[in-house]
Amino acid sequence: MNDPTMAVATPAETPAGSIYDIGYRRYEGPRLGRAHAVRSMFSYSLRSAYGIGRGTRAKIAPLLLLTLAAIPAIAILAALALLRQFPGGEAFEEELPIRYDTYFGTITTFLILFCAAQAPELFGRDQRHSLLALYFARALRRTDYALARIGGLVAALLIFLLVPQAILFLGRVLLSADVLDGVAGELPALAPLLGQAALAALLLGGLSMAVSAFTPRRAYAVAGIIALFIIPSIVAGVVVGLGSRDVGRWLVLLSPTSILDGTNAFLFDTPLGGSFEGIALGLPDVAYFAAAAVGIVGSIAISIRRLARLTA
Amino acid sequence: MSQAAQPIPALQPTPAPPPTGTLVLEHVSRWYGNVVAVNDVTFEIGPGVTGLLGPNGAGKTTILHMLAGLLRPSAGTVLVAGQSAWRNPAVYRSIGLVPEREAVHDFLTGRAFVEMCARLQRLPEPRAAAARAIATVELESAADRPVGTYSKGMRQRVKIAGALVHEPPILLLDEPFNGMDPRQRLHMIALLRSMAAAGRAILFSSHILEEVERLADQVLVIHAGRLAAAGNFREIRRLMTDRPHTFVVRSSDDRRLAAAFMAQPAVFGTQLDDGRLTVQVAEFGGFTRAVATVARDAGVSLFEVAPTDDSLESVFAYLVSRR
Amino acid sequence: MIFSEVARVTLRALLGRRRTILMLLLAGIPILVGLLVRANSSGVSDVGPTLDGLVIRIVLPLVALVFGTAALGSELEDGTAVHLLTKPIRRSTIVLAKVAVAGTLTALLLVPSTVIAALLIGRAGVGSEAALAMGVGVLVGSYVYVAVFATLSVLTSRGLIIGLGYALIWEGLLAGVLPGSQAFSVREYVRGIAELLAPSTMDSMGGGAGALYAAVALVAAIVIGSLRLAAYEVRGAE
Repeated sequence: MNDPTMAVATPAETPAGSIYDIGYRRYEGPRLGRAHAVRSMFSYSLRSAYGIGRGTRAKIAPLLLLTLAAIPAIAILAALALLRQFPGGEAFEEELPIRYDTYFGTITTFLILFCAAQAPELFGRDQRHSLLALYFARALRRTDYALARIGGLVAALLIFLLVPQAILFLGRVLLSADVLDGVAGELPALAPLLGQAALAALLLGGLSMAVSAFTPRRAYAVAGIIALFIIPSIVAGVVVGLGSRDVGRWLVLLSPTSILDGTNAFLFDTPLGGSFEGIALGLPDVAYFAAAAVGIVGSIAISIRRLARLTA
Repeated sequence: MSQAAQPIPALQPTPAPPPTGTLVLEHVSRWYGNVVAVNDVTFEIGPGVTGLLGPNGAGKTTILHMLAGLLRPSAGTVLVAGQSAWRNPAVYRSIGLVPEREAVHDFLTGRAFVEMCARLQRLPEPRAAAARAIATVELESAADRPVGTYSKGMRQRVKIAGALVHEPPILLLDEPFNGMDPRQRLHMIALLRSMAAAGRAILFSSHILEEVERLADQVLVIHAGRLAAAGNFREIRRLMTDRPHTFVVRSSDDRRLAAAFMAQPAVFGTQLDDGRLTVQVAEFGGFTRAVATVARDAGVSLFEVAPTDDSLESVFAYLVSRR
Repeated sequence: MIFSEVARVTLRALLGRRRTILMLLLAGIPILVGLLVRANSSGVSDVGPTLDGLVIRIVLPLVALVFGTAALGSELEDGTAVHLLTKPIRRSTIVLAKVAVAGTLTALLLVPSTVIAALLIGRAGVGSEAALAMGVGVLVGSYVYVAVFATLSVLTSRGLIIGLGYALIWEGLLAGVLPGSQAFSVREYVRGIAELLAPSTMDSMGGGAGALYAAVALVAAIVIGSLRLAAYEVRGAE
């Protein structure tokens, strides 16, 4: 490199043109590397799923949906508190429709809307604005990117599923006369609750990201996610209702919400939801579990494969 | 396209608006929430080419969009050909707008796009008008290809063709030279000049000084939402008295003339190198009036007196740094 | 002439290849269900409720949402609408042409699909009456939904997700809890119209009210959309 002082001191010797070193420096310090890049991508995705770090308008949809999902928990706590005021009110407590094990079914619509609203943002925006090349020019690899983005949505869905449950849990603990007793009483519900939330977040998050990976245009991705999550269960319901069990069996295994219902019944002994079409089908419980596993692994593999082939 | 053609009579609505292609802003401000994009701007533009010059984010697009009726002014009055532009679609008979964004439906051919613009302007012969406009921007060879296959410069030209297909008295162009190669640039400069010569008012924005300097008769300098200067840019330069003007002087005896200049109160300094005398003066007019007398008194013959730094760049750098 | 010009370019924009395939798939689902039913039984008598849950609740709003927002909102978003907005044409003409094209496309896809599905599902004698009633209901519903969603997409840049929330939460969840919300539910209008034509097909708020509300909603959506478009602000590409 040229020494600038030399260049200035001896103008007569400089050639017709010269490039001066005016002090720009290369970064020579330590670099945080691939693991840090993946962690950053993950936390960035999780934050943007709730609109954190983006404008107010990006926050409205996720936070409104989360609020709506928490309302049943708050309402049922209010009902419980009222029932306790009356002698004999406890008898009705078990009749209340909203419990830990039915909560997932209660908020399914909000959960699906959350997926449809946020998954296309996480994969689609980078494609629409041609940002992938910038990411892949860093330590981040394509698979890392896909996994970090999917992980971000799954974590966001976990929060979405667990916040209302946490409200319910805390409320029930506080409603009991002795707090320690209350915690002990509610504790057994905890493990299945976490398991169900993880399962739902992985399956719905993975599938909605797989749909989004294929369609950068938001409208298609949103329509695709809604169609995938809602239509198979309706079709299955119609077909089963008409007595076509053989066809119904396979259709139920195409419906993500039905798969979740069945798998939860298999793993956590939850009661099957009232609208569930699978009751009459006589499918082995393992079938649902297998379908869930195939859905989760398959959808993530599809996203990774798609990302590997996209021209950045 | 015949440059002298007046707007087709059928275009004018029955109570014809004044045919003057004038653009007027009176104390116009526009803010987005807390951010002031345009701050109390007043100007009036008539026929000819006017350049709207300013760095990115200065408010150029906001001004153009207010003139094109696409943004409501937060305060003040915007008049286009004598009418308010906001919520008044009739004004688009007199305006052609070339927006900065490249968005044109990819599936349309260039010809189909321009013909669509002609039909939406209710031109009596949309095909012929479109063909004329396409010829004007020299896009005939690509006119029957989908816009999706166009280069940046071709998209720019097809948008210009769409904007001038109804031969409006006013043409608004937002960064029209983006993506054009030098030859297309020259052609576009010639085209806009000839359209201005036919009596149209043309306002174009740019952050590139060279473009504005070569094309514009008048300049509006926008900085941080405020009008920093307006008018002929040599005139603007003359008005900036607190900044030294630099002249290059050639004469029969530069050394003696330099000494004589130094005795003048308006002269800051002189410099003699490579046989060129440069003189820095405080006041443009005073020096130009005095220079002949000084030379005569010193017994020196003047060969040439030329201002050196009247490039728009120096004017602009000065105006921007002053704030 | 202006109307047909706007309609023509809208039609070509809406018939993008991928969108058409996705929408054809959606429209094919009711027919698929009909074939499955036909293959396994001799048909059912309650055609209305069966198709209500599938077509009116999901497929119709979804197709109308994609076409409705694409016709107006996405063009405003990607900037192609500026060329329409800077022409001396009435804003109501633009909105009318867009709604007409998107609504017609929705109806062209879904009315045949609904009628065929109803004929396939219905037991002999029930099918044709229900098919007519459902077909007319879906025809009207296509235009009303498209008008509502197109206007939403002018009112807000998040029209897609708000429209979805309207269809799934307002019309889906709240209709059961708050019966009064049915007066503002396009789904209920469609059900009402179907009931008007074939009283046995549907159990609804009442056919006459449904038809009336549908007409009011259609006009209101177009008027609001036109007014909003007239005051639509185009900012620079920041």
